[in-house]
Amino acid sequence: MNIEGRTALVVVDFQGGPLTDSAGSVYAGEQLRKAIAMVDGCRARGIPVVWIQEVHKPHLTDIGRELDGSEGPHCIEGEPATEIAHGLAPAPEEFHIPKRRYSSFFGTELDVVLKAYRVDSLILIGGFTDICILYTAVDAHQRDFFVNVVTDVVSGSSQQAHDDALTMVHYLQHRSLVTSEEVTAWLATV
Amino acid sequence: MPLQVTDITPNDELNPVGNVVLVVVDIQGGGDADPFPPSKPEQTWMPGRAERNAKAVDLVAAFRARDVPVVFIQEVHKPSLIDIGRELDGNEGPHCIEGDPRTALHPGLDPRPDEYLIQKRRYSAFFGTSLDIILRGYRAQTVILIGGMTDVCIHYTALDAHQHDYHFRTVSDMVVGSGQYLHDAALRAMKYLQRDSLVSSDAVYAWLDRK
Repeated sequence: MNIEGRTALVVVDFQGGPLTDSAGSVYAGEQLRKAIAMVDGCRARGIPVVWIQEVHKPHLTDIGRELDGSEGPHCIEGEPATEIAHGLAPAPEEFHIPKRRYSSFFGTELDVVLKAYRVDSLILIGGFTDICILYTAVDAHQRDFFVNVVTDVVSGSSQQAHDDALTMVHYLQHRSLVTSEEVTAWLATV
Repeated sequence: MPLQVTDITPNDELNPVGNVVLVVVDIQGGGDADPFPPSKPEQTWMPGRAERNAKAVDLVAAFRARDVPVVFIQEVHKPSLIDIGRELDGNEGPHCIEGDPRTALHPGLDPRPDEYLIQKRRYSAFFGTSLDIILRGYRAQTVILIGGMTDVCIHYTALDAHQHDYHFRTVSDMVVGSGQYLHDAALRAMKYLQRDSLVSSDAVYAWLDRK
């Protein structure tokens, strides 16, 4: 683990509601079970859990340049697949932060929330590995946080992009790639 | 699922949108023939910096000749490293120390008095800097990126340009990565963000010639 000081778990775009569409289904099964266990484990140990959810209005005024590349319209407010994956849900006292860009820090209150919790280290799960996880990790790195990406609880837009992104995260911080088993073992020591 | 990027062949058309600004990212070294000797075993720098630097001098001259704005970015850190953040936790060692001659921009890339030089202390040229304000001043909608490293300061500057709604074009024969694999991976990632983003320097010159 790459932990210094206090830690928060940041659940990034773990969406898809019932997890029946093609993008959401990558979370179905093993990843969802691991995510639920990690959220429960963090809560039991007093580790704050912060929820990030990508959303766009149906009229797409807020989509920016996100249709200029590989993605089509996504995360439309009101659609079932835009909901946080069923089985996961923010507790009333937890922060639930919507975002309209890839980095969870970009134009959001995440930095304010993390300062409130006085955390120095982040554990990231969710997706896509190569988009919202990588770019949240980059911004966390640039804000001096210690980054932990849980490699078996993140999903890429493709296998190659997933592998590329993990190499990029490792470039930033050599101890940043961890497994859910390591997180579980670490939680037992908190 | 989104489209996977497999082909990183650069476009031979620039196809910019609106006003264009050339952003020269971290072309430093002060003219030293070997300014950045590896300080960690994983630093197997990609070759091509000297050739890229010479091409950058010519490209900047061509932009100036056509009155297209050029903005210079320079990474700097204090010798005390108080401002280094987490940048020593990964592949990089101490770098771009203020006062070290190798931290200077490459000779021939000196900003003119009317041009902006932006110093930065993180990877993205937008992070904690005035770059967005300056691009708005130029009414820019498209930024052209050259410099390095492809997979670090170029990729993460392109990302922030993208998130700020700019169109970006990365001149793939004028960026150099920390290694060939990560250079290629970053080009794939940038094309994922904007499918028209990878261009050749010939495309840039062809566009300049038509201005």
